[in-house]
Amino acid sequence: MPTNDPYAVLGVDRKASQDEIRKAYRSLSKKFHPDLNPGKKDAEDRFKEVGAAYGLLSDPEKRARFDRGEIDAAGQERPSQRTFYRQYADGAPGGGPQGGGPGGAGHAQAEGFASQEDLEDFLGGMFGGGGGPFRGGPGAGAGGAGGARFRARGPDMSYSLRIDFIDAVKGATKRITLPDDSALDVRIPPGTADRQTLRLKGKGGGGFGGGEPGDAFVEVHVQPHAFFTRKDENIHLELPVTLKEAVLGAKVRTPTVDGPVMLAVPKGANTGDTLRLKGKGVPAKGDRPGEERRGDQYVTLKVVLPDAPDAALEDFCRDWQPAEDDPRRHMGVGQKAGGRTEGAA
Amino acid sequence: MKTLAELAQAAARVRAEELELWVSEGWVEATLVETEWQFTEAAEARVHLICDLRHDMAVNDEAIPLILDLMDQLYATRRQLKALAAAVEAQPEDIRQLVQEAVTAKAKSI
Repeated sequence: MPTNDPYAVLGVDRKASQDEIRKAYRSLSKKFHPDLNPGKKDAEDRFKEVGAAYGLLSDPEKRARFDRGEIDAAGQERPSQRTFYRQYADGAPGGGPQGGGPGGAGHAQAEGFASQEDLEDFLGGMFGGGGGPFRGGPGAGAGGAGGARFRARGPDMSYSLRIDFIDAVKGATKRITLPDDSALDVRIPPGTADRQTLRLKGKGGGGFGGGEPGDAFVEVHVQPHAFFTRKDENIHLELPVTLKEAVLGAKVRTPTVDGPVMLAVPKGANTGDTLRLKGKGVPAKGDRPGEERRGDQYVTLKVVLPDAPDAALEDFCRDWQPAEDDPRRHMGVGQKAGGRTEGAA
Repeated sequence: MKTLAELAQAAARVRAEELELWVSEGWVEATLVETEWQFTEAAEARVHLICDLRHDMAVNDEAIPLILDLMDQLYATRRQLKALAAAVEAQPEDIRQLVQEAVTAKAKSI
C-alpha cells in the first residue's frame, strides 16, 4: 500500500538524507495545507498523511526502526483533533472571523451549506464536472466524468420562532424572514407546545443539480400569557370575583382563548374554588387517527375586596355577627385576646 | 475563548510575546476584555495556521502578512461565491438552466 509507506507519501528515496526529507515535507505541506486549499476536500487527509510521514522519517531513531520493520507507518500517526482555520473562514455559520462575511443573521442560522463540499459540488455540477474551466482551461471538461450532472439534496436549515400563547393554542401562520430577505411561512398547528420543533418538508436549502431541497426545522418558543397558563391540554386561569358575586352567586364574563364566555359563579363561592369550562382548553390529537380532542379550561376563583375603602361595606361588617368567623382555627391559635399586636405597615 | 496565556500554552509553538505582536500586526484578531486579550476558536485555528507557515513551511515573517491577506481574499471570494450559488439554486429550474448555460459559455471563452 503506497499510502502506508512514508517514503512514498513524501516522494523520497529510501536513502534520502534528512535534508531531502525536510525539503520534501516543506514543499508538500505548502501544497496540501487545508487552509491554503479550501476547495480541495482531500487536502486535510493528505496534509495529515504528509505530517505523519514526516513525523516518522524526521526522527532518525523511528526511521531506523521503521526501516528494520519494527514499527509500521500507521502506528505513528498522531491523533489530531485539530480544527483548521478554513472551517471558520469558509462561510461557516456566524461568518468569517477576519474580514467578515455574510454569516447567519439574527436568530436564524443556516446549518447546511457550510461544508465546502457543497460549494465544490455545486460548481462542479454547474461547470459540467471534471474540475471546471478554472483548472484546465477550454476542453478540460472532457476529462470529467462524462459530464454527469451532480445531484444532491439541499441542506436542512434550523430556525427558531417566538409565538403568542393564543397562537400556539389555536394555531396560526407566521412568517419568518430569512437572512437573505426571503420569507418562509410557517403553519403553527393548533395545540403546539413550547420548544416543539416543526418540520417543513422541502423548505430548507435548495438541492443541487435538480436534487430535492432540504427541510426547514423551526423550534417554537411560546411566550407566556398575561393571565392564562397551560398545563398539557388544559388551560388555567385565576379569576377575580367581588365579594358580592361570591356571596350571592353571579354570571360573570370570563376570558377564554376563544373569547369571553359567561361563567356561572355559584352562590357562596370562595377563593380557591375551581370551575371547569369544558372543551375550552388546548386542541390535541386523539388516540385514534383523525380523532380530535380538546382540553378544558379551569377557572380558579379569587375573592377580592374593592380597591378603595367602601363605607357601606364597613358599616355592614361592623354590625354583622357571623355564625362562624375563625378561618384560623386549624392553625392552633385561639380566639382569646392576648399576644402582641404586630402591625404591618 | 482563550486568553493569550492559555492560547500560548495550547499552541506550544508560539510564545505569548509573539502572539501579542501578531495581534498588533493584525495577523490575528483578539478582543480586549478588561486587560486580557481573548481569542475565539477561529483565531486559535488561525494561530495554528501561522505556526504551520513559519515552522513547517519555513515561510519567513515578511511573507506571512502577504499570505494571510491573499488567503482572506480567497475566503471572502468563496463566501460571495457561495452566496451566489445559493441564490442561483433558489431559482426555478429553467432559470438555473439558463444561468448554467451562460456560465459554461463564458467559461469556454476564458
